[in-house]
Amino acid sequence: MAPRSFLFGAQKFDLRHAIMLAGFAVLLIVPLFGDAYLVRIASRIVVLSMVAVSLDILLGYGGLISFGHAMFLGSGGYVVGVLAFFGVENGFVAYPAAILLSVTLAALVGLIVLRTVGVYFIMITLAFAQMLYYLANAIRIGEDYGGDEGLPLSRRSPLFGILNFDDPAVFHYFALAVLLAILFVSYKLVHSRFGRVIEACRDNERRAKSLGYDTFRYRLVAFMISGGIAGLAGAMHMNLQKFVSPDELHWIISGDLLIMVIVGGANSLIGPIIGTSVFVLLEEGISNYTEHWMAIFGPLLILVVLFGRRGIYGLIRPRGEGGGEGR
Amino acid sequence: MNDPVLAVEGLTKRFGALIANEEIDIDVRRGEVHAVIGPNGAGKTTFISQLAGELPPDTGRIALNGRDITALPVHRRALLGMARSYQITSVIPSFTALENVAFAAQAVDGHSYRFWRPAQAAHHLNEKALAILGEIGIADRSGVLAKNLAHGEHRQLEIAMALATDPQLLLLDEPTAGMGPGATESMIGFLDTLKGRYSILLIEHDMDVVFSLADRISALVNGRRVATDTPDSIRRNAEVRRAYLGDRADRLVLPQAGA
Ligand SMILES: Nc1ncnc2c1ncn2[C@@H]1O[C@H](COP(=O)(O)OP(=O)(O)OP(=O)(O)O)[C@@H](O)[C@H]1O
Ligand SMILES: [Mg+2]
Repeated sequence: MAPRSFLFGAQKFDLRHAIMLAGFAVLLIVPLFGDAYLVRIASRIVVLSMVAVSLDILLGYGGLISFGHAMFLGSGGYVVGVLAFFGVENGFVAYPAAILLSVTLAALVGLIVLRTVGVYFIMITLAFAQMLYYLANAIRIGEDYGGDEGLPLSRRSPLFGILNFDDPAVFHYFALAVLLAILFVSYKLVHSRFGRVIEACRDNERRAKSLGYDTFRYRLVAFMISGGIAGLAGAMHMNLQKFVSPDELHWIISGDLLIMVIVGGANSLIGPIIGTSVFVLLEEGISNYTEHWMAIFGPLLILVVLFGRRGIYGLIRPRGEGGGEGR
Repeated sequence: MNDPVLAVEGLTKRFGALIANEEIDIDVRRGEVHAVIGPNGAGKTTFISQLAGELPPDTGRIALNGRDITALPVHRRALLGMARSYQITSVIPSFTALENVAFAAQAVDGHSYRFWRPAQAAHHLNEKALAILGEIGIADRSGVLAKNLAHGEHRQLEIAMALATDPQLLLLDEPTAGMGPGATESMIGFLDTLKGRYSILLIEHDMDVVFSLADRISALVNGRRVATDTPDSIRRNAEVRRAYLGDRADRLVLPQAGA
């Protein structure tokens, strides 16, 4: 029984670790070039990676293909936006509030969607996110706020007086620290007893039940944890862009998130970050030349799904290493 | 002996026009092996699925240790001491054999809302799992992913998982299904070691298995229980012979001649 590895938990250093280290190093030094555009792209990778990791907990570990994960990106973002509108800027209020509301949203949505499985689950999560999308479009505050106009953020939620988050580099390092914390917590989570229940439910829910597990409740808690992490990411995303709009909630975003996780490699935590990086870089790179950048990303997606069931991360994984593979 | 572990009264299950179980009364006494036999489609699996809670009965009542569990969900029944093995192997394919059994043991080791410590570090669960795998004879396969195990090993793992939940009542649905003669024999040997330690409801096609293990046998025909008696009496029971054995009468003779 080989222990599963986290970063340097593995016995031997291999290609995966080299790529992870290189990627982390790049994210670390990008701000040193002083190019605001590059920092912005790097920060986007970091923040969207948080959502992708949270989605992977559901998809890769729980076998729950949520096609509505953008709803938490939106809920987190809107909490920050609405609080700021009412004059509450403090990050120590905004971020916890974003997490709390997203966990609550996940609990309410989860109570309904987790009663379905398979294609029905995909459709009903999609439906919920679209419902919120239309809701966000409909609700306005006064003339210029909310609705399809979205909400602006004049100043990034301050946390400690000395740190100026409006400096892109400072915010970037903050986001990077949050991502690492999320990775660590997620790693602990998926290898815990709770994680074992979630993976067993993915493989064989019926068996888990007949052993004595209340699978619905375990899944609900997983859904809430995932929603909470995604909500925090949504708050970070809002801070990064200093703007949130209903577009954040659109099903296309939910689809993009699924693509990031699947292309990068579900059931690995690192895979979703690789997928997000590739996605964002291609989006930024190719969309400069053609609007139809999906025409290039689409075939890549098909190739990855055809040749590596575990995505890019699976391709660079050393041969013979098992790990929990499911579905 | 006086209070049965399991008491079933008037259990009926219909699938449309088909009556899969009709007014079945059966009890399992403490420590006994109660076998349920019957031809294909007699309703044996349907019966066990209702006991385990996967299928809701149309009418009837199920009591475990005197407590009415008819309306309880599957997981609650399991925690009350009911463990099931499936006719068609049902394990966690992406877990190793050891992880499968440790996962089963975890179910009765308090709640699993434990988010931080690695599950692998729960030594008492691993040790318990390894001991059970050793007992059933596949300890050397403990590190193999369940999906890579052979069919016979799956059957053994299936039973090991059921045992790891510290059950009082074992519901075994054809534990030797699809096994070769050699493997069947060693499974019988293992099940024999469980005799007296657990109360067992055993569904089985294989008459050798049934007659070598059962304390009592109930015969199911077309969803109806036609007899419940000791193996010897069942052998001689005219109704069972006529109704159930029919084409199998020859097979019934075999263990008798051997006994
Ligand atoms: N979910 C279902 N829907 C409709 N009919 C069913 C269902 N499950 C079982 N049946 C029918 O009920 C009858 C009893 O099936 P059951 O699986 O309980 O038989 P069994 O005694 O376990 O047979 P076997 O020895 O082949 O395992 C069969 O005629 C079967 O086709
Ligand atoms: Mg059957």
